[in-house]
Amino acid sequence: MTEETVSKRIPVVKNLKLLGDGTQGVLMGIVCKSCGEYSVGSPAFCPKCSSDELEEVELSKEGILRTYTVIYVPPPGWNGDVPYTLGQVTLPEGPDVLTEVIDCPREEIKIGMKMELVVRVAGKDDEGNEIVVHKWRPVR
Amino acid sequence: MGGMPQREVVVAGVGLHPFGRFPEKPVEDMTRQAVVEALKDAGVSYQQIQAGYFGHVYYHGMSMGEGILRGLGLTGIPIFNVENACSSSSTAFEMAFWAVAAGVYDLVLTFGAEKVPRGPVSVSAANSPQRLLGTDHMMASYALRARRYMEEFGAPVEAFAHVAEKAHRNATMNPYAQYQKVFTLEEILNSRMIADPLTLYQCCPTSDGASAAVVCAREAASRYSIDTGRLVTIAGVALQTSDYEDRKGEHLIAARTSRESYEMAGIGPEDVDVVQVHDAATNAGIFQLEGLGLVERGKGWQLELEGGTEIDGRIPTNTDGGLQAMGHPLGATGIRMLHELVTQLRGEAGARQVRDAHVGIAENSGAGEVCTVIILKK
Repeated sequence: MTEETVSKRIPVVKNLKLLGDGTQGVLMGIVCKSCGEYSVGSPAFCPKCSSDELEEVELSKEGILRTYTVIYVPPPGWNGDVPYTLGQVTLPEGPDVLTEVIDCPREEIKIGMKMELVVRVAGKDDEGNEIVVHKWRPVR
Repeated sequence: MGGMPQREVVVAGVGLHPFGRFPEKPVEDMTRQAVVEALKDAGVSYQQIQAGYFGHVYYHGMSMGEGILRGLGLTGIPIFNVENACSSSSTAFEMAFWAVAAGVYDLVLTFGAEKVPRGPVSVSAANSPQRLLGTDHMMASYALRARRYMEEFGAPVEAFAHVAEKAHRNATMNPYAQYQKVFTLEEILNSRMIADPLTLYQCCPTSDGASAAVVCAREAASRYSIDTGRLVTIAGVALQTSDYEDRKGEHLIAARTSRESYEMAGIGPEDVDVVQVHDAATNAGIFQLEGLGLVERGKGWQLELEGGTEIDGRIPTNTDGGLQAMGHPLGATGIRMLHELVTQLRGEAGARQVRDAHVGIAENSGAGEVCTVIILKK
């Protein structure tokens, strides 16, 4: 019964798959067998051609920073640092992923930077489980 | 995409409740005030109205449109409540247009209203995971586009701030505006940072407000003893939502939507005399001019800095103060834009009148995304 008292790591969104002990993660997506387009998440139909012949894939953990903003007034529910940086990163497969950029001083951030996906604990749920979120970090 | 109207449809009257904060006044009372003003402006009575189309976003109870119009009389007319984010009342207006264009009704009322809670506007539900990701931030989505635009086209942040500076200057001549005072470029740029590069005075305020328009078949106007000299023709309407190509967020949606509206009106961007764009954040006040084809993509910031969007400029834009200075009661904004175009095209805008204004265009954006483009002509 001891396992049940150990807090679990739970991904913030269904398409974040945690690996190993939960300190690593990868974003899941789909590739459309009909038009070849990649999408983030698990849509039931391809957003480009509406086909339902989709295959689940692991998306690349690296991409290029398309744009960013530094948020000084956070939205309701945010419990991280303020200010914080949001980065919109284009994956080699095509789609963009928007989430927080960490380990990057604001004066160093630049559109076109190479970013890698990491996971961090963002908070706990009512049962004490750790909620894990994905973030971008510059590739050193 | 859309069809062509079966007959000419006009705006016969417009009304507004001032935009701002009115904590003591129920939204129903505010809305009735705008509706009564529009009915008076058209010179018709509520008893003559055949249908109502109401746009709003926040939940103020069921069948809100019925609750508002009940106060003007129980006539049994069909009333349609429409929610389409910040495009709600322009959507309601387009539905009213098509019903009249198709001959279903001759004289209808379309209106919008909102009391927006204070603080940042969120799109997602309260327990949505986006809240922990920090990505559900209306102004962040504008800021991301602003930063990308600066990188691609070399635009300075001053160009965005100029949109707010101009808007506030225009609003000093508008008694309906939430803010009727001048803000200097320095004040705008030095105000509190919200989402870099957008400062507080580059993000539109949230507001209370209401707007209304009476829409009529031109052939029926004289039957209602409406002054035909003040009628404004609805020449083009279009509404589109995101398509796959828009996913990177470059406002291609306004380009698509305006093409459809121009085609219906049988005109092009070169024929436009006065413009309303959805400047929820200042940079959108520039991007949307590009989307409407009024200035080349990537050059809108130069037009803005050179004074091209001023009341006496080449493309007079947001002459009433836009969202930046009028304020943004979500469901009221779409028809508020049309209120200003109608006022301008009738030559009734007083100190902020654009000279020789015959064609006006209004672009209204909403989360979803939604885009409406309406062209009015006199």
